[in-house]
Amino acid sequence: MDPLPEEKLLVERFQKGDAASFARLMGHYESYVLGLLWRLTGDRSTAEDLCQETFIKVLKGIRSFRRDSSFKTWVFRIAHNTALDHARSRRPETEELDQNAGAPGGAGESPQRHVEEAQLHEAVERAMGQLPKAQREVLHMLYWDGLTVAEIAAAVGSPEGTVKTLLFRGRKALRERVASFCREVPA
Amino acid sequence: MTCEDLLKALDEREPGEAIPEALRLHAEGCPDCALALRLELALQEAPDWSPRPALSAAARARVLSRTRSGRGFWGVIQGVFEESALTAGTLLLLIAAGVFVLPSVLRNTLKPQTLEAADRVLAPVLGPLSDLVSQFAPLAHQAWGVALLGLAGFALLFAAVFTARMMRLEARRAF
Repeated sequence: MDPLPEEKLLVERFQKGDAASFARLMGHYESYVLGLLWRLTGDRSTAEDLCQETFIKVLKGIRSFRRDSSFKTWVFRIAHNTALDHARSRRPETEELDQNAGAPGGAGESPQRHVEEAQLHEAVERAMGQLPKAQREVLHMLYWDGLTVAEIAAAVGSPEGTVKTLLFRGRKALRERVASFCREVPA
Repeated sequence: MTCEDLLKALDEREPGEAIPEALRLHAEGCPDCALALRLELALQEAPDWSPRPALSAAARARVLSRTRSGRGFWGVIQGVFEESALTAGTLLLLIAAGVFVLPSVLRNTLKPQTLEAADRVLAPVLGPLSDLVSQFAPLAHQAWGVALLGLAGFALLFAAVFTARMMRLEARRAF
């Protein structure tokens, strides 16, 4: 994840009620948060709603945010909890996502890309959509959002050991599924 | 190097770390490991081939509109309160220092003729002010009186600073 210059100063101003600072912080994090929520819900529209909800919670809770901790992990934690609340409020359903719907950036692939690479990327997106939500979330945070294991642990509120286990299982499951997809569609 | 070694090495490495040559060599002769390696590299480059989505302008506007109302507004007011209190406190300290320290400093540094000249010029202003202050003089002999005067002074300064800042804020919102 690209670091936001003067983030601490922006957070300080935001806590004093400066709307422009909030707009800059939101502008920086919204695509990361939306990407994660889209990955978790598999639906762009739901992800947009949850993203909106996340930033309203950020707005409401900024006074209680302690500046000595990381604003980034705090935002991701709120997004994680918002997705969790959303999942709890819905009736239980299968974890597997619609393979055509759950991939941020899955559509609109550049035509110049090599066919093999495009197939692999498609397989990754499909496989990610089939992983259990917890594994999908930590893998997305690690590879797509560039968070460290410690930051992921802080964001999802789990010990680092648990995150490492989820990453290990997630990678293993991802390899198996991608291998299976690639066998289905030989290059 | 075995297939298990390669997978273990992939699992233990941090994203962004260089792939050791031994892993590449093993993967060249093993299709499963080659795919695992390609997958790891693809994941590392995920932000490049899977661009992050952008929030719709409407959703962004809905969130940002909250900063101009509700708690967002009270957040602004709270900030103004804090700054006004700090400014008023500082001003009160400076005024107190001026009242108690400045006269003796001036007496010790300026010539008697200069002081007399200044006294003549400032008399129309300092005279009524001195009369006003002398009315409160009895309060200064009591501890509670001093506290009361300090508090009243702070309240007056705070009100003035707060009003000025709110007027500036309103002017900024208007234009």
